[in-house]
Amino acid sequence: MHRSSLLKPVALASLCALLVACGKEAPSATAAAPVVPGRTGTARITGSVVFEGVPPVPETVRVSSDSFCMKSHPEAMDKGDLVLGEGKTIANVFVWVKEGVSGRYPVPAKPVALDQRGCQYEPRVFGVMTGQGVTVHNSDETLHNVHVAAKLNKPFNRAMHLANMQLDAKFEKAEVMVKIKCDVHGWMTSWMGVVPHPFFAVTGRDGAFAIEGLPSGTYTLEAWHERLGTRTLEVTLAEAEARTAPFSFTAPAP
Amino acid sequence: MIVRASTRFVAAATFVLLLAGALVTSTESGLAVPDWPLSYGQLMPPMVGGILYEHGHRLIAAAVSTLVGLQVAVLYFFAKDRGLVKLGALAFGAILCQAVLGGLTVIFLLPPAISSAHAGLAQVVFALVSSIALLASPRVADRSLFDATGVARLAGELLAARKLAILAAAVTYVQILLGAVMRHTSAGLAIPDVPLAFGRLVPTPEQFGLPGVPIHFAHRLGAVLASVFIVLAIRKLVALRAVSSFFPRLAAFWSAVLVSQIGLGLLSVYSQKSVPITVLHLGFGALLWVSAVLAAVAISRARAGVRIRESAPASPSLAYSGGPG
Repeated sequence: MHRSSLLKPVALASLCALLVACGKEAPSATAAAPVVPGRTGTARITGSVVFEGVPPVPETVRVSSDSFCMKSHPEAMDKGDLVLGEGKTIANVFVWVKEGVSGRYPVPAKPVALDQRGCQYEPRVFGVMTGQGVTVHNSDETLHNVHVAAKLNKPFNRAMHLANMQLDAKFEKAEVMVKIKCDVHGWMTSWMGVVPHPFFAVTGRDGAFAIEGLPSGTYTLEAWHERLGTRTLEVTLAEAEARTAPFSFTAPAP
Repeated sequence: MIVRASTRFVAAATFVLLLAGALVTSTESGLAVPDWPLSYGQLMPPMVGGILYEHGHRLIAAAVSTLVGLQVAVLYFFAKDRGLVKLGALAFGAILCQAVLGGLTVIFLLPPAISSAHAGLAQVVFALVSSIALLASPRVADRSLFDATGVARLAGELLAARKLAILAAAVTYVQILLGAVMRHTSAGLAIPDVPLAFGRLVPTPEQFGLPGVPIHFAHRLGAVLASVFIVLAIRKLVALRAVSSFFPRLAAFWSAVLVSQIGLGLLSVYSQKSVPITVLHLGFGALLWVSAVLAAVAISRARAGVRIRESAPASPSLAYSGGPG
């Protein structure tokens, strides 16, 4: 009796919290895919992402709160939220076909791996298809928590307090992007793009990306960067055509 | 002696707990321990990174909850005023609810509604234990703190001062809740400049459409409104010096805290939410709120003496002879 009277307000409060959380900004994502099979083809989009102007000074983080992490980073480490290559190419940009693709695509059986190594996430930015597995591994001899701050998918926060622990997760709804963080080590951040098709890529340090296997059509391509925001381009492809899509970012407003 | 010392210690410990809670949000460590009531399945996880703040907060909370529970026993056995026992039990109940709310914030991944309720109830607990500490003071209990002639002469002033203190407490509490919502929705820098907002007195409708701007601006307006009521209440308290030296002393403390708090609010934005600044900002906000509550409680206690005297005119000494007020 006493327990149920306590649970009622708790449930109400939780519902309110859920409504507040759901009322927040909706991340850009494509609608749920219909049952018809998605089309594929032989067209491809390649490109590179570059920074224009004077890049901001890289921010550093001093790792001082965990002796294990200090061993990996005895000096102040780069925050990693803006990695530039030669010629100011930008790494860790998630490029995906935002519009123009419909239908259901086969989900890869192999899960995407996310590792916690040296008190950093590897990779920092990655893509996964809806329904595809994500395996999170802890290579560190220290504890981490994996806090997946999803808005459309179910968020969770799980402890990984032993080395070589592993957890498996799946995300059923398209959501670009989902922040993954370790609240124990505040600098540890990873970003995951969940999309309903296989047409996405993440740039390396050379800023290059390639999206292959597209059928002919007109597509809206979006490039997302955690600090610099998003850019979109419209690309029309004929069957087997290869087009380039150059993206450029400038410094974010202070 | 034991009542006075223990209640003051509990009030001070509760303030430390508030600061520890502020440290958790300021360092964004609220989810560094994903489970509750245990931490990583154990009582004492390694105190690394954000765990130091989150688990440290839990340890301090456990200690303070125990102290608030023990305080009920001390009041039961040693306090003459039985009303204090009820207040102590209320504080104990509130801090237990607070612990449950704290657990729910972890389980439900810091939903703003529950996190803000956790922050709001913390202030209620602090006000309760601070009021107990004030009322447990022997000079307040036997009303020797208040001058009988002054109380009788300034009865109207006392009533007006109490109304203003209650208003100041109410507005300050709403302001604290706005601050809590702002904190828990990460809107602390939604307006990047201060004292202006986007270079204007009032943001444009488009700027109000930006995330966090409405709650941030509401917190700024609340600061102005709370300051006005606090200044009015302080002026009234100063005028009550004939009743007790406690009132001008409280007024001086309250003024110093208000000035500091305004400075800390400005610094919170200038420093891009520096952790020590935001923690102090929350702490001084709590002191503002509790000052208003203590002013109202002390005035009520002084006025209670008048009522006792009016009901027993033949024996004026009864007015300040102790007992529950």
